[in-house]
Amino acid sequence: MNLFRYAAFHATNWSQMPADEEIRKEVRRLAWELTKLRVAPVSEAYSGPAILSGRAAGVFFHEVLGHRVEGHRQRDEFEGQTFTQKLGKKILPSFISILDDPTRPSFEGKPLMGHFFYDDQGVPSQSVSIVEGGVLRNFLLSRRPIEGFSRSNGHGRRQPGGVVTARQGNLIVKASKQMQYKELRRRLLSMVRRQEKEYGLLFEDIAGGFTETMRFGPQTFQVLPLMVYRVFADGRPDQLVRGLGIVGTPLTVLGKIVGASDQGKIFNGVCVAESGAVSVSATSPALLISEIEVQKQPKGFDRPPMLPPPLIQ
Amino acid sequence: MQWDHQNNQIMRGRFIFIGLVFGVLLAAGVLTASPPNDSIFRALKEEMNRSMDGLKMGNLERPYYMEYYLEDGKHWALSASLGGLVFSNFRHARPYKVRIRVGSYHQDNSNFEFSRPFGIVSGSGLAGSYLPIEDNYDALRRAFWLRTDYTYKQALEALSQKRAYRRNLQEGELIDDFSSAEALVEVAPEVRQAAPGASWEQKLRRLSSLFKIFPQIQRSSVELNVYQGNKYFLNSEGSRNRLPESVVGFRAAAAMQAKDGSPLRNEELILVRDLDELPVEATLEEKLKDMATKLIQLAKAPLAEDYSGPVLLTSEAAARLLAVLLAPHLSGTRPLERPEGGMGFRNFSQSSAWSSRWKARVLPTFFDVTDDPTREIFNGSQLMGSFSVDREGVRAKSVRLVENGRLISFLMSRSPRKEIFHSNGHGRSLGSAGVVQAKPGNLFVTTTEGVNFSKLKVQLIKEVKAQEKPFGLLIRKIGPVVPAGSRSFASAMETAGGPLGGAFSGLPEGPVLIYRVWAKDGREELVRGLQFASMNPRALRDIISAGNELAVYNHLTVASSLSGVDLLPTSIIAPALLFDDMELKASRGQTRKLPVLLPPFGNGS
Repeated sequence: MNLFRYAAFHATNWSQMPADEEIRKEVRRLAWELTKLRVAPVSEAYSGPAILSGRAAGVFFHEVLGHRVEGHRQRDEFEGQTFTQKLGKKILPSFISILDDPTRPSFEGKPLMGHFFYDDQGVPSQSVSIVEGGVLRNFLLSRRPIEGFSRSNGHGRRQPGGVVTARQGNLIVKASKQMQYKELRRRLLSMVRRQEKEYGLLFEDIAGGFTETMRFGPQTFQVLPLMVYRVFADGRPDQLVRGLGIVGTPLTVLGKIVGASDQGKIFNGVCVAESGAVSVSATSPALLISEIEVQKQPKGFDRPPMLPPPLIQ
Repeated sequence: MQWDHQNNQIMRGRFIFIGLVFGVLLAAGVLTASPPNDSIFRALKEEMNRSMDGLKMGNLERPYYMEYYLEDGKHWALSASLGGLVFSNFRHARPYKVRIRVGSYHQDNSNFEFSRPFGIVSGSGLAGSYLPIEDNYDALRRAFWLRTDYTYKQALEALSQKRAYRRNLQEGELIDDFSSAEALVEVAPEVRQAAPGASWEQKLRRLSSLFKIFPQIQRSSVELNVYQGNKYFLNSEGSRNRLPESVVGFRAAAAMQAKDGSPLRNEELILVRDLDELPVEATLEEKLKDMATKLIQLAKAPLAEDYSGPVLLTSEAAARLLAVLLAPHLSGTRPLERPEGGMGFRNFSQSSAWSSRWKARVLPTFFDVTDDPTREIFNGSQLMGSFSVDREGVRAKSVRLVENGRLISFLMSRSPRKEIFHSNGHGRSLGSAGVVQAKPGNLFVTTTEGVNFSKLKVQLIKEVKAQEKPFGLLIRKIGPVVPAGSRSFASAMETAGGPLGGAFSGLPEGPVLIYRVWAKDGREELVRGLQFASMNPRALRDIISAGNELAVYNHLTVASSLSGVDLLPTSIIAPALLFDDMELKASRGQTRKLPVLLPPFGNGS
């Protein structure tokens, strides 16, 4: 099985870049984690409670919700239109609100890569409140109108050369009911025990994912976790596992969020869709989900190299 | 020369200088010899030795042959239009290749199209496609370690598929898969081109702004590509070489529409080995203006109708036609054995049209053809197709291919064929399934009965009259052999590996400058809108006469391989040719309406 870890640092100018020592620390951490992954057991398929760390939850919302509230998807008959008819309806627990705010350059002092002043159609960027108290209120819009929304809200974006569509900028997930991470973990364990499972899952880091929004495909998503731990009911230390992917359908998963931590974490990255690659961020607190489904990832068939690495010799 | 656009790094190179400078060998380039314990060769050699000794999977065979290749390539690409730089890029990259043979010289994993399981991520991805551009011993070892491991496993898989496939075949005559060759050690000094720098950027700005006096021209560019590579080769038979390669390409191109909307283009391409060998700016200026003027004349020229009859090609035009009509068919590389339903590889090694024409007449009796990569200069013109050692570490040899019109030999790599066993030093490009393809270097097409050009024109008119036609055709210029619509030299390189790859093996883009030669008074009249009808090498037998002066056409042969594109500097040296019958068809191209508004500068007329 091919394993990988990566670290990326994003900034809008050199002065925001981390100090050498911080980067060195990250490099060492990656190597260490990869070494641990190499000997970690392969996960089996699982369904049960889980915690998504802040970064993992950010990517999760980017895929599961963010892409599906892009305006043009609401008028294309080939699209799944998961949320088109959900306007004004409850799609998330009432303690969750979501906005996309490209006007914000940073979050708690850290740069947000989805920041811009004007979108690629020359419209000033706006903070758009997508979900308020669990209720869907708005879509992300370019100058291409959709039913009920005739004006852009400054989210028309593209890679140079691409054709503008509505895209995410800085997706921010907020929870009105927060608890300390320790408490979130305690609740995970009590859910594990209640469901009579051996363990729950903790998703530390995920690589980004992909989502299928078109009708002819299954309306599912998949995110690719990189660092996942089993958190045991009997108090054993957490165990790193490898080779699994989160699967699910958006509406069911969103309804199963039962708790959020008090600290948001940022995922900065590059999102690729119809209009090309644009830089985005997703910020979220850690989330407790009552039931999540994971499947085994396809593994490669290549055998490991036959000779030992030349560096060892 | 290897080219690929994936990587775009800024150079932070480190060079090893020692005192020796060969100033005489290359006027402007600086040649430096590396110390004997060159870290590239050392890393490659140690990893290869270890792999030859240690690679053995279960009870399967060890490799019997292994080959490492590394190309340290620097590429400068500059382009300007109407006085402004469009881009000025530099790229330094080190692609590398590993070739492994298991089995024996009689039968191994090569020359066979094996199918790989679909959709499975290959292990080679772990090693990446490029090496650090600095001589980092550990990084070199690790990359070659992983690539070797991957290639070995692929080789075993291919051999087992090949054996299974052959078991089901009627026992036929089997040709060996690999021929022996002498080990050759040739470590040439590294070549270093001077970067084109700001002075060339200025020059391109100035030259490209000349198009301002031709407002009718809709697109124009002036480009400079400078490539400099040092190619490292090492095999398990004891061959070790480092060979320099440098190519400088200057190109000016222009496009416009005729009044009826049909698209027209013209270009001037000059290939040399060193920047200082390019013509001086005043000469380039003249060539560029002449090219643009011809294009504008062409736009005003009458449209031609379908034509079939005598055609005369100048030596320059003839050499370009032979680059596609003759050169590809002289390769003796046999096509891959291909199981039915096999679809793993795109087959880049299709059988040449002449592979079954051994000892047969392929050209009129007054023609001889020789490929001689060892010659560097002909009649004062530099030959770009010269090389001393080929891609398999075999010394290049001059090969007589056609004598008195009969095909007597093929260009050979180390992949034997029935008629010829050994390489003649023409293995130039690593194709699919790890088979090195034989390609020409400097291809001389000569005749014992050449006449001067004015005589050829008289013969053309005589032939026209004999066929009772009002005029014959004279082709003075043929377009480049690059896919239509590709913007530049560099993008042509890029496109070659992509979906348009096939376009390179076809006919040249078409004749650019065609003249009617009227039988009644010998007057030449420029016409437009003609393309070659489909043509195969058989057409060469319709040549009835040739000129006594030879032109040199320097170009880059594009050889697609699975892993990218090989651009092989090639020269065709040929006389003017008179065909008694050639077919050209009227072709208007994709006609779009003219722009609604006049050009924003000039008087727009």
